[in-house]
Amino acid sequence: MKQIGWDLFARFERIALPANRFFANARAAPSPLLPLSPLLPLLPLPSLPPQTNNAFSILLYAGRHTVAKAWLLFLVIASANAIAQPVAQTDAAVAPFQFIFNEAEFNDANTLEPPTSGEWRTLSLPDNWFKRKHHRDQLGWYRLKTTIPDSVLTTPKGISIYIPRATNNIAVFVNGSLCGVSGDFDKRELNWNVAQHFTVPLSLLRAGQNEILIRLHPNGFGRAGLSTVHLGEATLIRDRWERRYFLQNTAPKLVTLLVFLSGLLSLWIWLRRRTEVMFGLFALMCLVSIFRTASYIVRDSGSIFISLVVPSLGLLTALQFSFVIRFADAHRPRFERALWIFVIVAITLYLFTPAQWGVLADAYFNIAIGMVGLACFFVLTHALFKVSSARNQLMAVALMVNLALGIHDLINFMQLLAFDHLYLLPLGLPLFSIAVGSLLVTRFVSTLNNYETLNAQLSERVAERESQLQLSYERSRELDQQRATAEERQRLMRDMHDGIGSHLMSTLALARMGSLSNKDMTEVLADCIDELKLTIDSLEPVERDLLVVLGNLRYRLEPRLNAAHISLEWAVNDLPPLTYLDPENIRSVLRIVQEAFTNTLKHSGAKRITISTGIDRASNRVLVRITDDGIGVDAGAGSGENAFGNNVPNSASKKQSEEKYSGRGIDNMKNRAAKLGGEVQFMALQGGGTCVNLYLPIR
Amino acid sequence: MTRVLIVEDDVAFRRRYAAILARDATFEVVASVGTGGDGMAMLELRKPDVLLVDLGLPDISGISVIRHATQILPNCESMVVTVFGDEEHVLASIEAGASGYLLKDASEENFLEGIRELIAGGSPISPIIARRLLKRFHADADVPLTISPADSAAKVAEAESVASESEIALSSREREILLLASKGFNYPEMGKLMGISPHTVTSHVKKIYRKLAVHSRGEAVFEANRMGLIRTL
Repeated sequence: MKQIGWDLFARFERIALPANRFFANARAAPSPLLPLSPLLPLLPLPSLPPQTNNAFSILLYAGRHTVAKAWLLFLVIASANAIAQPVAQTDAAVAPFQFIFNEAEFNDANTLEPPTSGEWRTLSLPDNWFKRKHHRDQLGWYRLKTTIPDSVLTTPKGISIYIPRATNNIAVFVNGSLCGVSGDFDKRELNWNVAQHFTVPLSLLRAGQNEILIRLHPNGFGRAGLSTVHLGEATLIRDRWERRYFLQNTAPKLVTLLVFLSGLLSLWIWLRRRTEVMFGLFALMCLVSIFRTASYIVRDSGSIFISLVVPSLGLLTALQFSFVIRFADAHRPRFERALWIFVIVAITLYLFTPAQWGVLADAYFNIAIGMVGLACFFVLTHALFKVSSARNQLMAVALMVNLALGIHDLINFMQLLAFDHLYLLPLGLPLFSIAVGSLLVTRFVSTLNNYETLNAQLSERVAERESQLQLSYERSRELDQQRATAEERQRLMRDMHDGIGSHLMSTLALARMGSLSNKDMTEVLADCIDELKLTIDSLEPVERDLLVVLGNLRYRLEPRLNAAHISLEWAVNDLPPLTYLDPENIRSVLRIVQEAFTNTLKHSGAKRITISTGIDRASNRVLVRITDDGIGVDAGAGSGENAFGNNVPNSASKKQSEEKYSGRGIDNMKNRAAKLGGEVQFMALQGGGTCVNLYLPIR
Repeated sequence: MTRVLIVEDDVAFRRRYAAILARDATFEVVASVGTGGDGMAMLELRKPDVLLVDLGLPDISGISVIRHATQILPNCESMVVTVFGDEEHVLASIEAGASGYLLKDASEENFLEGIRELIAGGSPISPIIARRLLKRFHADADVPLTISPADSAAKVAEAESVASESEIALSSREREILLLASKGFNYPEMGKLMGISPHTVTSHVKKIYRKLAVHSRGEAVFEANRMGLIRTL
């Protein structure tokens, strides 16, 4: 079964041959663009011409740029490899001592100790077992021979060995003694992607010819081999190893950490804003991509990370699609559903594939997912370019770079590139984090800006509304005033008409007939002036204080009472404020009381009038009582309820006491009291005199 | 002999006042004029003891004549003769320095009685005006208090002493009188309720009037009081 897998790779080799040649060239001449390469993701994509409104032209446009960018990226990738692998040089005259082995002798003796038998045959390094069809899960030995100058042995700089790649583990012997091992053979530690570095004790070296033996443990993967071997002064060799180690091992770890952290951040955002599925998807994508990058970092061959490397690619593709399509504010529901179904089916099939299918299953799965991923790429690029925003462009670049790196790594995985070529996919992942970061920054900034603008607008609107309110308030107040004035005017008019007006008219009529004596005339005019005064007094502000109203009436009437030699007893008690005491109601009260006074003055011949005020406990009303000692009436039945506790007037027959008043006068008083919500009672007092009780509600 | 100047544009009233005053030998009408301008001139020329003035004069307001009299003749008693004795006119007159008012339709006896009372130091006060004054003085007394509501008692006392020094604040007696007057009690009743003579009550009322006039002296203070008046309306 495994054989099928090998054939598949071989077929790919033929297809991808031109690419291989390109990389070989690139390695020979480092790209002049190399120093600019970190800036590449920042290059803005030119904005779309406005007439590109159909999907096809966008695709074409995007396609053109994609091609250009892809080429640039390939150059960068090649350049990265070029730094890691300087061209072999042996010019030891001026430069520090170093020797790069491009050749070795190989012996396939399957022994742990340096072989004493077996055939040694010369081959070039890097040596790729897959490429020279050495498909074998057995140990192999490499022998390297070099002459070390005496000067090197006497300097204290030290000698070290650097090997960019050995798949999968090695043990290094110098002049027959073990110098170092790459990892645990028994646990089959995964060291295929770890640059190796060994310090050679000077005691192991000798002047002249030295022999280095390297035992290779292939560990059962389809790939096995040894890269070039660098031997030289420790500082020089160590620097070279460190550069390689950083790119190959440290950088992916840092990236993995970064991706993990941005995944956590995104998860946090999603937990607080569940409606934004995009962030949840991105968090998942980050976490799943950790499984994906694990194969470049994890050394433990039994780790769950390693067993999930392949299926995680499928999940990653689907998650990436769902995330990016939301990022681009686009919807491809049918495509998305089909994609997820495909990925789930593929992963299920893969997980249930018999173990012995191994590499073949991996290959088929990877190819299938790769195809789907390519389709996703085009759908997403199309969606991203439809709305040409900075963040969409950034995301498009991230997609392209990752696609390019993915293709690069796939080619590398298929052994189509140099054996020690670097794997780069992990390095492209942070671009997604950057794109998401840019989205968050844009949002944050625009939210703040909007907030500020909104605030400004709000206060502006509030001010505007305030002035509107002010205006409408003023207008309504004006209207209120106008209405109040109109009502007041109407009331005054009615008053004049019914009161002083008709009074003057009838007087005028009498005067014309000559039947009006001087005394009568004076009386009528005095009445008219009283009427006017009453109206004016009712308009004075009294703040609902009935006592002030009554007091003022007394003040007005007192001169006349004095002239008539009538004494007035003022026995008032404090009263609660009566809310309904507006000018009209004041006038009604004044009329009722004035009527009582007038009648007493005119008809009773009384010498003493008492006015008392208080609260009638029984009915909880204000009581104004006017009593006089005028013409008595017959002693009647019953006695009046006393509200004040003293000065008890005994009530006599109501009817008799009312006779003192004209019928109309009584009706007027009663009507006015009823309008106020009150009541007027008339009582004749025992021993003469009349009592008028005015009850008013407390409101 | 009390020398009286009459300023009244209505000839009938002018004659009537003169006729009423002529019935009492203690009064002498030194001049009877129809315009404010003539009235001002007569004030300076005749230096009367009593000024009877109508508010609705054809040239200038009677208020101006009263103010002029208060300024040049501090001992002259100014009395307004009004039709209705309404609050607005009476208060304005008192502010200008008038010591009281008479009603145009008063009987001869009441008219003479009123003048005599005023000369004797008694000023009439209606319940409505009493109430208005209570409010007004109360609001003014509040001003220094509301400026420093949380301040120490010393400061409050200081503010009060300043107020009394400037003869603005009412004494508790005066406040009580205003309160009783606003309830309709007349001077004898007030005197009985407070245990003082009616005459003392009237002199208190006159003092209150003087405080109001002092209070409203000067344009700025006058304006402030106008605003105070508006505030209490």
